[in-house]
Amino acid sequence: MLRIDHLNKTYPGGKRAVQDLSLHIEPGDVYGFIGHNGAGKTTTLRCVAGIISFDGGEIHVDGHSVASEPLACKRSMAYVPDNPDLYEYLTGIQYLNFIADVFGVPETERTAAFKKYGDLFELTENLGDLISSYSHGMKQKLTLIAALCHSPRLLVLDEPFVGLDPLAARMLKDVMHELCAAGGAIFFSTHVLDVAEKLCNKVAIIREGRLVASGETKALTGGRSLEELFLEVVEHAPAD
Amino acid sequence: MLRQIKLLLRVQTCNLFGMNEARYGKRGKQRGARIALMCAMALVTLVLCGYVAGLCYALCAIGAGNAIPMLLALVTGVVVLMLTMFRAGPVIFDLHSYEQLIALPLRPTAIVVSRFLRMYLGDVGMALAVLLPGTIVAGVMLHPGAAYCVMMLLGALVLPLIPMTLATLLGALVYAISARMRRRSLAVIVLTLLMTLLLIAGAMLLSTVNDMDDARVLGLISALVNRIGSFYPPAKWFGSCVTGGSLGGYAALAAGSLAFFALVASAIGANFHRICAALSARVTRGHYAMSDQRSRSAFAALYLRELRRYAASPVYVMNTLIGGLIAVLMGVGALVAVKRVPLLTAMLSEMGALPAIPFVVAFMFVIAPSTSCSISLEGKQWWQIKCLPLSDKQILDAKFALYLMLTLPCWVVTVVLLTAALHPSGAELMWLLLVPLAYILFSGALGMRMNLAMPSFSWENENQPVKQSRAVGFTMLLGFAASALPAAGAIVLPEVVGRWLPVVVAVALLAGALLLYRSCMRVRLRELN
Repeated sequence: MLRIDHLNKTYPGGKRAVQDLSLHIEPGDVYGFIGHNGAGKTTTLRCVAGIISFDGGEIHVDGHSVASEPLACKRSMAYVPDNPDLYEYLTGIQYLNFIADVFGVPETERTAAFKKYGDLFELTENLGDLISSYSHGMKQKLTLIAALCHSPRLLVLDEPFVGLDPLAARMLKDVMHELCAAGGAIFFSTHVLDVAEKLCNKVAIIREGRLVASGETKALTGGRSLEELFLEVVEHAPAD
Repeated sequence: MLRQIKLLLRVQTCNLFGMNEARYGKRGKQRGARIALMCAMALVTLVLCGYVAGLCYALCAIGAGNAIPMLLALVTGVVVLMLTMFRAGPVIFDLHSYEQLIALPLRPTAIVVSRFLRMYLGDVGMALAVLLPGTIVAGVMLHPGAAYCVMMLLGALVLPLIPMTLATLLGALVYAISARMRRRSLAVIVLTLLMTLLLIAGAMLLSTVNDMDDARVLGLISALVNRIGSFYPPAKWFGSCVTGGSLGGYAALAAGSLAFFALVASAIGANFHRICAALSARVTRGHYAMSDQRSRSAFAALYLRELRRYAASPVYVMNTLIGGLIAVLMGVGALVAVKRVPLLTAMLSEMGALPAIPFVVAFMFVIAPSTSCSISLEGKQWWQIKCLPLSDKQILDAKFALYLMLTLPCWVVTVVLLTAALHPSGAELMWLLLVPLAYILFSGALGMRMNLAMPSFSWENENQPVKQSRAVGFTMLLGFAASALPAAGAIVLPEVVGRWLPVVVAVALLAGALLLYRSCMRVRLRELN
């Protein structure tokens, strides 16, 4: 579903955000991406989503190259950032319709999807209001609804649980399982290791732009907690 | 309180014209951008000074030098009023920094006064750009004495106070009316546009004098001066004080202006918290019920998004639409003028001004195309459009479509009005149609190319990308040069240049527009950050 091979990204000014990163995500995977602040998680996710270009390596989504076939990749995935800066001048429903129009979602399908996820995240009543009146959590929910309404095969999320109330977080987990059960995959970054441990069948740990551990969660932790693994790997990983 | 005002003013002005960012910016490109912007603003100021100096020279040459103080006072007042009215609301009631400041132990009046002073500093600069060249020219040609020159220059401190305060009241009124409306931005746009058009129409009426058949220019100026005095008394008082050497009158004018400013600032300061709370409150309904949704094509969805973005931003609308509206007003003004002076068309033809009219119309459309800031205005939401399955062409074409929607109707109406007023010949009508259209297409493509070359996504308020960006500055300068030079050529050498100039210019601009459009399509939007 997602193949990242030897990804390299250096920002102007010389900061090497990602170095030689490779990981593969199969259909059905809930893949957690863990790392300290500034490790390169968001950069990696944004490269996958096609928001920023990268200097080296390859990224393939569902067999299509992000570099040479960006539109084909974007059609089959959805990206939800950690801090959703949305179009504040639109109402919630106008925003959802905009996203649905871009993805060509038919009218009956989108109506059903908006209702389903709007009710699930308890946002339906507020869809007629301007996004400028939404709280951070409401914007997060709206972005999730927009991401789910076109049934993506790959869902890329950056810190998705930040700002969500406990009920919404629970709903999101259920939706993630549902998407994976239907043959899709989830790739998300998080600082909440408890959630990653319970939710993800695979995890990858990144430190200073390099992958230091990746694989099946249970195999990696080997009876320890993910937190213990993370602290051990991050502290003892070789320096650059 | 003075200490608080001083602290706030220092923080607000340290990045004037991007000076602080130019000084401390690490990235060479960012520093270079700020320095380039400062140079561009200096150039525009020089052009304004040159225009004022030329006007004063002409007045002195025809023996109307005594009118200089009053005319310059009016020009200062109008410039300050027009420019301050658009920014007074966003500056005084900047809600983003209000939330940061109100939590600190600061008096609301100190916040208000510091913001007024910030605007005042800019207005003093504008006033100096008008008064200084005029004073120099008058000093050299009229030898009026030191008191005259000192009072003229001190006018830069006094003259902006009344129009600035008035503009703030008007801006506050617009904000107050729109505060309770759901579509607040749209209300601000409509109200501000109405006020601006009323002001411009009023200025046009002011400039039509009944005895236009009197060929004596001095008589016209005398009548104009009387009209100004009755319309804007502070200009008359200032003129009287300066030419009569009345220090007492001058002091009274300064005291009165300061008192007016202090009264309004205190009133706003006393109600600042209440006003900001009302402005920051969001009207919500919270009872939406899902109904059947309607689908559109991706391009239609993009275009609708552009339209909604446009309608949500008073700054964006005022800066980009006003040119087209002034062109329409010009057409209306021409119709009215021709009715009052039936021989006007013949007079213009004798003066050789008719060939320049298509270029003057074109100028209105080229100064601020919406495309020159439409990329930058994506701002922090730029990620959204980049992660969607949309081609770069679709994204840019939607922005072009909005630009054409804004300009073409104004162009059509202006041409119809001018045709009805001036009854041009076949060839003249063709140039009246084609030349502005060629400029519109060229300017739109140029603006987009400039914005793609110099995008700016990290801004805190919309004034930055719409009014203070390099892309907008360079587009304006190039558009100004592209329209002003041919217009001057058409007037100065009508027989030699006037006949074939429209052909050459129209063809060159259309070719230029096509090349620039293709260049825009080659830019990879993903590389823009």
